[in-house]
This record gives sequence, structure tokens and C-alpha cells, in this order.
Amino acid sequence: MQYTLSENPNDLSVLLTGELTLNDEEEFRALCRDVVETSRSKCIIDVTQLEFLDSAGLGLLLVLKEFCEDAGKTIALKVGDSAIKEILDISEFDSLIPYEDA
Amino acid sequence: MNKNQHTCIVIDKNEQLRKELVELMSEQGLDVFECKQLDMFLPSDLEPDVIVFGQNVDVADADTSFSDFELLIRECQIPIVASLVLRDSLLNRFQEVHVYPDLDVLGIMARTLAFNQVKRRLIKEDMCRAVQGIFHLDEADFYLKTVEEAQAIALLISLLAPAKKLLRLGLTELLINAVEHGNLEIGAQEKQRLRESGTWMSEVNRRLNSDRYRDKKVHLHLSKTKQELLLRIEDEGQGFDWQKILQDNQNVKVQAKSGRGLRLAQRSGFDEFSYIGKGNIVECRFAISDLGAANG
Repeated sequence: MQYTLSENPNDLSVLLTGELTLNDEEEFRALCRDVVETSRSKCIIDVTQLEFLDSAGLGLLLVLKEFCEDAGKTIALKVGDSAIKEILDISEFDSLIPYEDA
Repeated sequence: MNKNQHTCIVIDKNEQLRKELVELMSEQGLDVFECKQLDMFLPSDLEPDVIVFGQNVDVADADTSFSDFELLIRECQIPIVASLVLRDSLLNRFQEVHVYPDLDVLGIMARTLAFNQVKRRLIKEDMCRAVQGIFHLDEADFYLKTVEEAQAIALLISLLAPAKKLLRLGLTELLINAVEHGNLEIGAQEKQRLRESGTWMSEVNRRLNSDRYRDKKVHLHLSKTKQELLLRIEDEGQGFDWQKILQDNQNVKVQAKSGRGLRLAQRSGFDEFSYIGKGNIVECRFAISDLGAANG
């Protein structure tokens, strides 16, 4: 997994690319710390270019949600027509993290 | 196309800058093509290994449809090297965008990315051959020990399925469960604790190297008919109360922290999915693609 942070006027965008799996735990936790350190009160996780994620990857997204909530930030997922939309759908993920583009 | 050739495409509207970039790439030993825009018509046998953008290229916004050239870049995950001014607009349309700080380092960056891309392409071709090999098998046995091996085999076999990503997910979860819960005896609660403390992977590796666990294997038996693939996964663990857990899972949200992998596997598109006996064996089956789809 690779990530890019972009600070917009009203929110922080986190673009994830590649695959988010159990191999990415360490780097993802570094990402969580980076997100918390920014001043934006809303975090949008852009998964439109993510190619695959497994159950551990889903868990990492929930870890980021917890980090954001502990820091008083809101969080949303930008899904679009992502290759992983089916995986998110069977996980009923929209009930846990709202979709930005819903 | 020579598959070991390293091919670069240089894009810029400014002819002078384009020529300068072409010369720079040629000095790096790359086979260089040039064009003014992202709508270049490519010969069918040309798959570039790196794309170099100058400073003067019109990049469409995220909602505009993709040209054939852009689709090729996306589909083949061809790395892009670009100047800083184009970075954000390119990231709206492509996955792998690298920024070069100045022309002094551009050449070596492009060369390195092209060489890595050729390696990736050759690995992908090897993998396609491996998939073709599996397609022609009637029966096969795989023995695996590690999480990485579980991930690799799941990816390989799922390429045969119509719904590749879902099947990859389901197989990954079942095989990793067999390794970590079955052979390595890491229970759900213990896994949760290890993950929260960031020590899960190191504990997996510690157990894999210990006397108690190092010889344990997961056995994956594959058998195939014309229409479907049947898989039987057997670990050397003590099993689990699968009837109770599968029943309970019907009333538990997928995202619940514990047991998420099995719940995902249940929903990942297997035509049939069942545990056997004490729960250290799981069998599943799914319809297979034709060979053309598997390579696509």
C-alpha cells in the first residue's frame, strides 16, 4: 500500500493505492499518526484506486476511524467505482464509515 | 516486441523540451517514443515500461472518460514520472506517479522505474503461464506453511474465477485461518490482542520458527471439472466449533472485530462452502472462467 495526504481547505484527503492487507499494518499505523497530526477536522479516505483489501485491511480502516474519532475528527470513505467496491459491499462497510460519494 | 526491451514514452507539447527529454532517456539506454498528448495511438504490441511527462501536457479531470492510451497506462500499471506541476492532475487519473525534482535525476529515476516495470511484467507473464498450467490440471496438491504462501496461492487460484477479487478474498481468509488459527493455534481473542499491540506478525513468525509449529503444513487439494474448481483445505490444528460460529455469524455484522475473516469468506462468492468434522477441513467450490478470461 502507498498513501498520499492532501490538505484541502475543508478536509484532509488520504489517497490509498495498491493493496491494503495484513502486510501493511506498520505503515498504516504511521499513516494514522500522520492523519491525527493534521489540523483538518474531516478526513476523507479515497479508496478509488485501491486494488484489493482483505479482512486485515478492513480492520486497518477501522483503526483509522478510531484514531480520527479519538482526535475529534469525522471520517468518510470515497469509494466511487473502486475495484474493491464489492468487498466493501459484502462487508456492509457503509454502515460503519459513511461514503462521501453516496 | 522484445520482452526484455525497456521502453519509454515522452510526452510534452513543447517540441524543444520533448527533444531534450528524449535525448535524456536515450542516454539511459531506453527505447524512446515521443508524443504531444495523452491520445497517442500505440501499436498493439507496444507496452511502455515508463511514461515521462514534461511540463506542457493537458491532463483531463477525474470525471472525463479515458483515452485508449490512458487505459493502457492504468491497466498495465505503468509508472509515470512527471514534473511537480502535473502531479495532482495526474494523480486524479493514474495510480503510480513519481515527481522528479530536476532533470539531473529524471534520467536515473525513469531508468530504475522502467527496469522494475520490466521485472513486474515478466513476473506477471510467468504467473499467467502458471495459471494456464493450473487450468490444464485435473488434480493438484499444494502444501504451505506461511501467511505469505497462503496469500500467493489464493491470488493464483482466484485468477481462474469470474469474480476474482471476491474469490481471492475468500480463499485468502480460509488459507490464513488454516495457518494462524489451525496450525499456529492463535485464537481469535489472542489475535485481536496481538494486532492491537502491533505484534501479530512477529508472533506468527516466532511460532513458525519454533519446534512446536515449524513442521506443520496446510494441505490444499485442488480438483477440477470442466465447469468448476473444488478445493479442500486441511490444517493440522484441533479444529473449532464451526457449526456454532457459522450459525452465530448470521446474526453478527461482518465488521465485528473478531472472526471477520470467516464471515467474509462466507460471503465471498463460493458456490458451496462447508467445514467438515472437527473443523480443520473446509471444502469449497466455484465456477471457473475460460482460459481467455483467466489471462485477462
